[in-house]
Amino acid sequence: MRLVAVIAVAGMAVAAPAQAQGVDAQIEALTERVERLEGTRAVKKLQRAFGYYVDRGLWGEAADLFADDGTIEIGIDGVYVGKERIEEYLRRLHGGQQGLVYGQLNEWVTLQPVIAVSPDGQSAVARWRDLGMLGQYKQHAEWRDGIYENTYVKEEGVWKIKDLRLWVYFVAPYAEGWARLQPGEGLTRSQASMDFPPDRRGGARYRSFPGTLITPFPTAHPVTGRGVEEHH
Amino acid sequence: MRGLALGLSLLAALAPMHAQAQSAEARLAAYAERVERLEDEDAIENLQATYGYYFDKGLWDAVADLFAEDGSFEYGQRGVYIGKQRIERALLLFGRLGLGPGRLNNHMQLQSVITIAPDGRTATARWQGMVMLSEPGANGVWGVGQYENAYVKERGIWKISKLHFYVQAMADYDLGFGRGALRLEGPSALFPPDRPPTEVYRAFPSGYTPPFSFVHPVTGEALPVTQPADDVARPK
Repeated sequence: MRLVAVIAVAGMAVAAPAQAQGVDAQIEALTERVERLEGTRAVKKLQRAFGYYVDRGLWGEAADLFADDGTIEIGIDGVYVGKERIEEYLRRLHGGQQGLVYGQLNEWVTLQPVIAVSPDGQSAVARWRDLGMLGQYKQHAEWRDGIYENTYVKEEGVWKIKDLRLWVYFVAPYAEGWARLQPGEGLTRSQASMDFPPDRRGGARYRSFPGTLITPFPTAHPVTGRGVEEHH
Repeated sequence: MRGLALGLSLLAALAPMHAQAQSAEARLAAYAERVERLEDEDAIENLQATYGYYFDKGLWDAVADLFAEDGSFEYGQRGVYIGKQRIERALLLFGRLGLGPGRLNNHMQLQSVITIAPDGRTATARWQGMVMLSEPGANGVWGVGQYENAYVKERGIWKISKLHFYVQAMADYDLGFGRGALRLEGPSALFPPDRPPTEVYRAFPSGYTPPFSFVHPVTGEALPVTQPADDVARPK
């Protein structure tokens, strides 16, 4: 213990902040770093669980991943606020029933996370890639390409989805592929959104493929620390 | 190696209280290093995923800025470009800055196996790269391949020191992988690379195994890889 004190004094003498910290302060700082690492992993689980639940038509379980004032916005469908509205929107988006119907393909493959947990460890933003395999057997089949830009919040130790935004870049018929999409074909407002209007209009309309869409990056460039648009 | 291990175990036997005898400071420092290695992995995962998102959209300046000054870029059989400026210009071979209408350039970054060097200053990673392409007036293209990359930490910031995408297969969308395999593009005549391809190979239906940067997670052994014979590149 005396050795620790000597080291601490020596540390202070050379003004090296890490060594100058007492053991308690160092533990505190390490704990915060570990909590942020845990936060990254919790956010991964959360978003992947969302994909797995929606895949199988578990609308209630998917909605329960959100904070009470959480929101969801998919494509140009507008914003739905709160768990109940999110659950009902997801249900109607998939035909109105609990679960899937025979022959319904609904894979929301969720990939390539970039996650930034806030310095205080209480919130996070993440970007994900969406690769959707959708369809109804013998009727139609589609590829979907999209980008999630989501925020998360930690409430009483539990991570939840705060805002989920899926920028659908295109939904393309499997047979024809994305290369034959005409302007406007790749993104339409869902029937669910028209029959069950959102709580508020979403962000500005945007151009789907074959237009060019660069969704805003919530995190700075990992090397330069600047916004991406500042690189032009 | 065995001698060292024996020496260490002997040491441990002589000093069974070694771990407990360490000062709290020393134990904390060891923990801090382990925490930093985890942070390093997360930073590299973010870095490479971000590379994919920028590359998708033709943000070539932002892509080049992910590299170390003397970093290298190699895609399929196009050869090696060295240095940020050269890389940024070479990236224009994949489409204009910001891409044009009707151009899809999706390069997914998936399934990472990241290895951080014990000193925490460099790292390597293998990634799975699914590709979706299109350009106006042409069929769509599916692709797949593996990345074997290296990274360096400079002043606390991870950068790409080597990016090597081993394109495994490219195929016409309509014909699919089973019938529509496409050949790899060679080095550009417009803007030749600084070095020829580090390894020459043909894509699917030939097979090529990108050497593994990581050791076998259970046996701890490096994997020897055997490449298929090739009438031209590797005659029997």
